[in-house]
Amino acid sequence: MREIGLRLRQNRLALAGLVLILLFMLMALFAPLIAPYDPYRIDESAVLSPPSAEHPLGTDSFGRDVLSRLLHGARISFKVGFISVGIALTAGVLIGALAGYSGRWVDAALSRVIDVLFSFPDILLALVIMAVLGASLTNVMIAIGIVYTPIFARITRGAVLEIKGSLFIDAARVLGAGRLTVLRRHILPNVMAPIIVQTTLSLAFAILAEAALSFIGLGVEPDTPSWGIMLNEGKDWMEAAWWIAVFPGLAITLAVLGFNVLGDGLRDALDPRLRGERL
Amino acid sequence: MTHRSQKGDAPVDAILEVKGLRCSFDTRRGTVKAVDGVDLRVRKGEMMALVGESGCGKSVTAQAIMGLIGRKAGERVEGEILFKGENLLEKSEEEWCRIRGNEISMVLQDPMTSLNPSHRVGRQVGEVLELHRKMSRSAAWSAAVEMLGKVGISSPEVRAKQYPHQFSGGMRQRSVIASAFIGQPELLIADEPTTALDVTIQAQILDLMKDLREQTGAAILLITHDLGVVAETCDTVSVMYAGKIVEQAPVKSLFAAPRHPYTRGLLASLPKPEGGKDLTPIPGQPPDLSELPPGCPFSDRCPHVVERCRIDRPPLRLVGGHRVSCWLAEED
Repeated sequence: MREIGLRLRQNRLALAGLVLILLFMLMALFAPLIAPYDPYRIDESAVLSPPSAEHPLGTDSFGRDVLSRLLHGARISFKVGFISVGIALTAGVLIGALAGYSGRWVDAALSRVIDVLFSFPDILLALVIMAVLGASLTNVMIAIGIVYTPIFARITRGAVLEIKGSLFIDAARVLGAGRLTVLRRHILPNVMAPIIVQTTLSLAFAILAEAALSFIGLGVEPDTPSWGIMLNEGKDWMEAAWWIAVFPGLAITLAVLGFNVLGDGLRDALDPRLRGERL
Repeated sequence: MTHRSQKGDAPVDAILEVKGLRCSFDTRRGTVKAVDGVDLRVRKGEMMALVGESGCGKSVTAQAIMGLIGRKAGERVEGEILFKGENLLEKSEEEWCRIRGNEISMVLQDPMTSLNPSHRVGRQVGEVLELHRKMSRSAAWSAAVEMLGKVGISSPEVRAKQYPHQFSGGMRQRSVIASAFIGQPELLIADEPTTALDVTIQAQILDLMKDLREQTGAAILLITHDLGVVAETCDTVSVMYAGKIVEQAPVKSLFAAPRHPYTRGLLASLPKPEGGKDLTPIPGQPPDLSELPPGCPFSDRCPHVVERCRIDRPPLRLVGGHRVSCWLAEED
């Protein structure tokens, strides 16, 4: 782990991504403390006011402080991101490992289900699930979790299949390791690298998906300070008050970019062939 | 402590006895009989070589003894594999897991890929102890460091913390051997342990295995196609051809007076140290394992073949201290 940290530190871009994400996470964590206003407070005397000392990022059409809503929006985005990717990761790795390791009909059955899920465009599948479940924060997380399960399942299955045929798996078996020990100790550690990379990339997609769903009104409840909702409200005022849409848009871009470059950096850092080389 | 093989088979001191082992695989081209009636007897502390050309069933025999085949559809293993008198073929997978690594261990052919790239070498060497002795991780680790020292890896404390790719081929095979011996097995099967290594390292690895055998008293079944390796290290030799044992004898006697025409052919095809004379290859090809002839599998290539060879399969019988499967083998 220390080596991976060191290797990551050498990659400037990935480090920048990590710093960016940590910054966002701090914002999300301490939003109630650092936000200058209540994100729900409507101030009729300050409707659509441009960025100023009083409202650093301006106010929206209800006079709500954009900075405060942005900070609270980070909470929603990251909560959705982590929980939905957590769901996808757990379900996907379980399904993929089971399919890859068992082989035969278990693999065939699970793989067909995954194929079916895969054949839908991401956002369409999320839309269908949201339409069935109804708009709410919990349902957004469930929907995104389901949508990103197949990719984890497929990556895990492929990696498990590849590792399963390695000689060191036979070597572990001839030393008396049972099926579960082989899976836990010899296969899973070797498939972790692509899964970790996919996790960071999926976090970016999940944040984007939440924003997209909220933007079209199938995400969280409409008065929630979510980046997607803010973007949606801001689009109607682009000419009169650009700051309402531009700042949440910027936040989404930066968060997604942060996770993406971190993911790329991790991909290099986790390559076991590079492990133990002089840094 | 070594037990040299003696004349007069006392089955009491046999640690491994394979009787009539048959392994076949269903393929699209029909059933391939990879092993077709193998009989082997390995005594306690003995080092036996199983020799034969590629595809003769050596590795399949080893895998069957380790219980690695015969569990999937289309794989069949028949016969008896008696380890300390118990038939391993009747064991459940759980019982197998307790035997593997603990009582019977194995060294695989390719040291480059038989170590897990994501674990430190020390952890892998000690894994057997964690699995079978229920040792704590740290206790297994210190035992692994000690074992790595024993197999000739310098500064084992440092090396144990490294990953396999930081090891050379020879060092990896030493580590694999360390992990095979750390559980103090009574039988070690080494499937071409030196094939992937260069000649000087080969000799070192063979010496190491001999030393460890002296120290632990483990019997070793060494699978190889290299008769040079056999001559240097083993007590007895079993020669395999087309899924059958054709000759079994003490090593000196086999090299001095081979009884089976195939063994003679193998020895004639070795380069001689004095050089000069051309090598004498065995004409023809080994038979197709999915269409074995009814008689002796070597009959098509044998220079002395007679009518009977093509019809009746010769059993293993004792001729001049050798167990030979040939109708024509006679006492001197």
